Amino acid sequence: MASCLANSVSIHGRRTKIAEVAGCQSKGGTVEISTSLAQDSVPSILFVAGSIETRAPLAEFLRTNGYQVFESATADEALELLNSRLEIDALVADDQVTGSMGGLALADWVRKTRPSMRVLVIADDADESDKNAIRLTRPFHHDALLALLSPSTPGA
Amino acid sequence: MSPELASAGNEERPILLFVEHDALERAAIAGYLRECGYRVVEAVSAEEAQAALREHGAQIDIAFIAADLPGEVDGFSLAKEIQARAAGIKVLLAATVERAAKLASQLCEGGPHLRKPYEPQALVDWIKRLRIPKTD
Repeated sequence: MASCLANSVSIHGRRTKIAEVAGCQSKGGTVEISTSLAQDSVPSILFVAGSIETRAPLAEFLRTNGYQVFESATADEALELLNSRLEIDALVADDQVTGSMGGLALADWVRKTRPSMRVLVIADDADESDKNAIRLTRPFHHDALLALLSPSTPGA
Repeated sequence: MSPELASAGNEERPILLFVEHDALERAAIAGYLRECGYRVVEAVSAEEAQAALREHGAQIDIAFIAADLPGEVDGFSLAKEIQARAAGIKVLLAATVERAAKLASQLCEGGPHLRKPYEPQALVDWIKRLRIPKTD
């Protein structure tokens, strides 16, 4: 099988640039690039919930519905992931999170510092939190979460 | 945990319980194993792993544990506990991220998709790159 060598492949966030692909065009070869490191085409969600009982089933539900899901158990972990080079499109924060910052405070912080990120909070009806949040009140049907994550739902 | 762990998705995908305290390593390695076709349940601590095993122990095929878990039960103790109580679960223990990446790569080779997305060193390098703060 003929192979060819890309002299310069650089990955900048969501773009992959290939320069000078030697020996490929003349032989009609194909260039296959694994995008698996970043899964760029899949919308990604950071899901923060304090217990595995809450987190694992909902994260798996989102994955089966086409999302890439990063999980975190605390707001501190969530901040670590948010400050990393992972591409994260949306935050779903359960209010049942312990640590230096609660889930609602984390959601609030992200909304202020990352205005382009969609932010959802999962909380009890009785909770006091600011009214700008997209809010899912427990108990909720999983489909309600999908509907709120959909780009056609207003609010960000 | 709700019954979705058992019912959603593809039944024949092996279920792997991945226990890792570090959020970035967990996200990266769990993502890698999912690409290889495993169904990965993420636990951030031995306590969470024990909760998952209590609820779904019979469905879990593999327990993949980082040895340096903080808390009362470390990775070694958790591994021993699973081996003693759940003989059907294959237990893997990794003390370093390099070792975890290597084990993940070996799991991929024996996994449902029969291919690995990339070499273990690329996975380790990627985790290191992820930690470099964004400049923009």
